[in-house]
Amino acid sequence: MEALIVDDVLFTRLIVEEALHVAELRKNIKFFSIEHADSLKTAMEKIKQRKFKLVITDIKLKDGLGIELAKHIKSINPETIVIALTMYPVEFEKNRETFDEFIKKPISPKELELKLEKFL
Amino acid sequence: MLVLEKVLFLALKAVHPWEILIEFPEGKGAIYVENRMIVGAEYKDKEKELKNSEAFKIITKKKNAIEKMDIIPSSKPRIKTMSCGVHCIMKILEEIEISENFRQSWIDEFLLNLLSLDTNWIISLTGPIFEGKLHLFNRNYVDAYFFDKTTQKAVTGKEAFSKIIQNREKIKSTELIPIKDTPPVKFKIDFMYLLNSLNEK
Repeated sequence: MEALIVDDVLFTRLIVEEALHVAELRKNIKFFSIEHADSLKTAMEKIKQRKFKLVITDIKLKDGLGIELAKHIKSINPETIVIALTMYPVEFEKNRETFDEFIKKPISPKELELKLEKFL
Repeated sequence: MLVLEKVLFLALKAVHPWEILIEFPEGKGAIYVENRMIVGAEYKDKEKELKNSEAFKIITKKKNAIEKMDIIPSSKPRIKTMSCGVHCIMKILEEIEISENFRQSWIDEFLLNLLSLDTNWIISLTGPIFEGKLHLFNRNYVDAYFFDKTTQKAVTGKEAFSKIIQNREKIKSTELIPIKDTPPVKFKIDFMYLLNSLNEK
């Protein structure tokens, strides 16, 4: 499985990556690659280059909205699981249709694992 | 090159105490990590001396100016003066990022966010040296108008769009006017096109 983590903050991306590795051990799944993007632009470039099974993205990125990223991903690859990360749950409520799930920041590895359980 | 966030992430995995010593061009900082949390922080320059959360916040705000960073195991026990674990650190870093981005460009965010609307608008943009209009139709910018107050010259279409983008940081006020009739489509600027235009230096 290939995963992409999109967030402006490196520390958040590292925590999400660690949570994915924990899920890997507990759920007997294998992430062949976990890539990072620190902006919408970088994420779009990575999505052009390859197909991801899982994308975890912040809703508010420094150069745009994760909502646009999610819409773009779903238009080219509807089976990709797109999870929103946000500090403001109301943002997710407004865009519930666009994402498969959401996680409130600051995240906990346990919460990510529980949310992933539905899809993996 | 050592990156503060990576160093913190690794230090927080350890139970053993660590000191992260940081040098800026005009100041010094230190972050003390023990038992998977930050237990103290200090920052000092010519103008101020800060401790704990305030010190940690200013260190992270200035992280791109770090000149030198040393990570050393701490030998002596330290009195805990703050308690900030992974959640607390993530929250601080996210809040700083949001405030920095907001300061950098409210207009970029505004122009991009409008393209997520399902309604159609004329966006009137006013600055000290120009007046502009963007026509938003079916989630695309489809026409533009740019009037240079100095030369008294007006342009429309793609040329006007380029001039608005070039001068966007000078925009002081905006107004949304509903579009009643279908406007002429002189070009189509969607979210990705605009994003790329805004990122061009």
